[in-house]
Amino acid sequence: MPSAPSQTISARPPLGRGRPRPTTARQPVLGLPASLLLHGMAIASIFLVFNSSFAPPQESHAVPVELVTLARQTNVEAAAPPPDQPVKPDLAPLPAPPMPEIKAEPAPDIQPPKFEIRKEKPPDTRQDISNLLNQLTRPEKPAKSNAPAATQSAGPATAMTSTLIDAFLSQIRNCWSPIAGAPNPADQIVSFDLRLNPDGTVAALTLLEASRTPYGSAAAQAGSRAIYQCQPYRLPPERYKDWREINPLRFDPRRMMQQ
Amino acid sequence: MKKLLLALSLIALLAPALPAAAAIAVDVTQGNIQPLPIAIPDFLPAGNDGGNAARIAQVVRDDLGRSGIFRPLDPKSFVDHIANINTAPNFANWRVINAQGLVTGEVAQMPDGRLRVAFRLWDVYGQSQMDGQQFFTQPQNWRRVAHMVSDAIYERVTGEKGYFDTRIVFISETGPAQNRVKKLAVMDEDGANPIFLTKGDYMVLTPRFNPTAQMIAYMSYINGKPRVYLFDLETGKQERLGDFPNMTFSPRFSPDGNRVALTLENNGNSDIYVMDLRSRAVTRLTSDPAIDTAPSWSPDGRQIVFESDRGGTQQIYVMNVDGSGQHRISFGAGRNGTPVWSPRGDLIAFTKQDGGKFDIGVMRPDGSGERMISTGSHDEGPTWAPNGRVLMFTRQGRGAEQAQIWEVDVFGRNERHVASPGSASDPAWSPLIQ
Repeated sequence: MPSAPSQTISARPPLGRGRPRPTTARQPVLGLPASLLLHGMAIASIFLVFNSSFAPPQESHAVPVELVTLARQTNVEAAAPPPDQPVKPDLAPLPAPPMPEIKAEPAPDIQPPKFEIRKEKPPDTRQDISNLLNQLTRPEKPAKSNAPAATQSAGPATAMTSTLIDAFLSQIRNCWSPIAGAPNPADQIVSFDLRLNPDGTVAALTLLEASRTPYGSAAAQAGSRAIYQCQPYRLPPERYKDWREINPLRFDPRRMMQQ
Repeated sequence: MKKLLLALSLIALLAPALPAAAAIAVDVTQGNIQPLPIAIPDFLPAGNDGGNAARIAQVVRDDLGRSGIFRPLDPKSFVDHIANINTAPNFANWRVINAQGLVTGEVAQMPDGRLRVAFRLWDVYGQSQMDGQQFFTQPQNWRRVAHMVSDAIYERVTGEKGYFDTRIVFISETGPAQNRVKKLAVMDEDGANPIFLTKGDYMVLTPRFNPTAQMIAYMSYINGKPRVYLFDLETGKQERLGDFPNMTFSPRFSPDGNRVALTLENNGNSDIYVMDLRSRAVTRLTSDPAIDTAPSWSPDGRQIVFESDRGGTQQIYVMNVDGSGQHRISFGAGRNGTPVWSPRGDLIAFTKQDGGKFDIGVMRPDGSGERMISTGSHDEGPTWAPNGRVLMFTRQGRGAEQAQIWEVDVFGRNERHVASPGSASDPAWSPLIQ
């Protein structure tokens, strides 16, 4: 793939001519639907996965705490008098009062992942969408929704890619502190779709997969903490197009737990 | 606008057919296990809180710090203070001190005299609330509420139930080595509120909680004869368990609390029996001429692990609860005893005696995966936290040094001394208090 930015600059026509750009026009046209698609899927996945894993905590949760006390009277004489133990004859659990003031709170339960289109989004969106529409309605375009080739490609497993992966891993490794100890360690595997800004900060983070157990939820939190804590990521700026999206970013603690 | 919507809907329809942007896939399999830095400012007192707001926050800091999974930050390092727990905190001010978690809380005295304790747990980097709960209680129970807050935070972060709102029954030892006075005692998991249950005029050993933490079974030499007794914490009543002619010891409640497995000695031969606490019917499970003792139930109540020297040395065996299917599971070095089944069912903890050393280890119920987790030279008698992640045990000092209670997690990390009044041994962890 040719280097897009340099071509954009060299191919830009003189101001005022209004000519469509010849070589880079396709680039944003393909990029936009893909971007919209991914964002659409990401939003859908948030509602499907994130929503339940990170559901707002139950807030009307009162726990009976007045149950167990030591009796004052015992037929065994204590050597030291018990320090003023509360005697609580009422063993009924406390009613569960609502917590309205907390429910009404505007504080966010989970920050909606940031889905602003990145700064380098193609200009003249409307025209691009029209172009796109034209393209999409062409009869030769396959319109099957279950086409198999639609999954995210991991990219060619070249040495270049593995260098990038190593560079990313060397950073996130220091920030990731998985919680050990789930009975089924596979419950602690989680994966994310991570979008990065050119400066290496997190643009958007979407949870793709986590087990529907307390361990899965805790593991998702641990992964998210690692991702945010480690930013900005130091990766070669000239290869931004290769690392702007890391998907799937998978955390698997099983090997660590065996040690 | 219509055109745009149409285009978008078409895109949505055709979306799966479009090639997606190239993304790299990354598998993270190595991390850096570190305690989670967490900021826990003093809770906010709303009205007259009786000083509980600061005290509760301190207990939460102590609980979480002791777990080894959290690292509570020094409040002196805070650059922000919480003025209202019902608004989102300024996360940037907590990132400055590298806090990854933040706990805000409030303590208020209700008109009916009860205490209302509310807290929120925040993900500082994700800028979101992870948990928010409130508790109501009598003011004298402020410590328990603090432990419940700790348990809730622990559970949200680890996915495991906490263990802070629990108690430990143990044997308190005082006096010179030749004339040791042993008293039955209980304390909170953090060592607070220690209470002696017996006076120490007769020897007591191997106390065990029942599943409601209301009753303790133990062995005592009342009248000079070693027998198993039950102590009811609610009423303070004590009773002898069963009317056996000979020595009974090593009691352990079944997971449903309705039965007790124990060892009965008869002419030098010890075997394991089960007594139904309702009918008082007794069933014999082993009839081997060797010493069979130290029974412990699987959490489903279907199996019992015990120790026996029937093979020549003391080793660990498992049988069904009707006594059938007895088979040896420990084949490692040395002698292995005092097995205790984890409340989670996945592991059995035990004491290994090898080369003059006593150490705590764990293995799977089929005997595989044996690993040692304590580092002392005389550690014995493990007991599980109700979440199956942490163990306490007795560490005997060298020479005349006093016995102490220690704890360690199931991976052998975070080994630490448990505060107790004086010398203490034979701990047994209660279930989560209900």
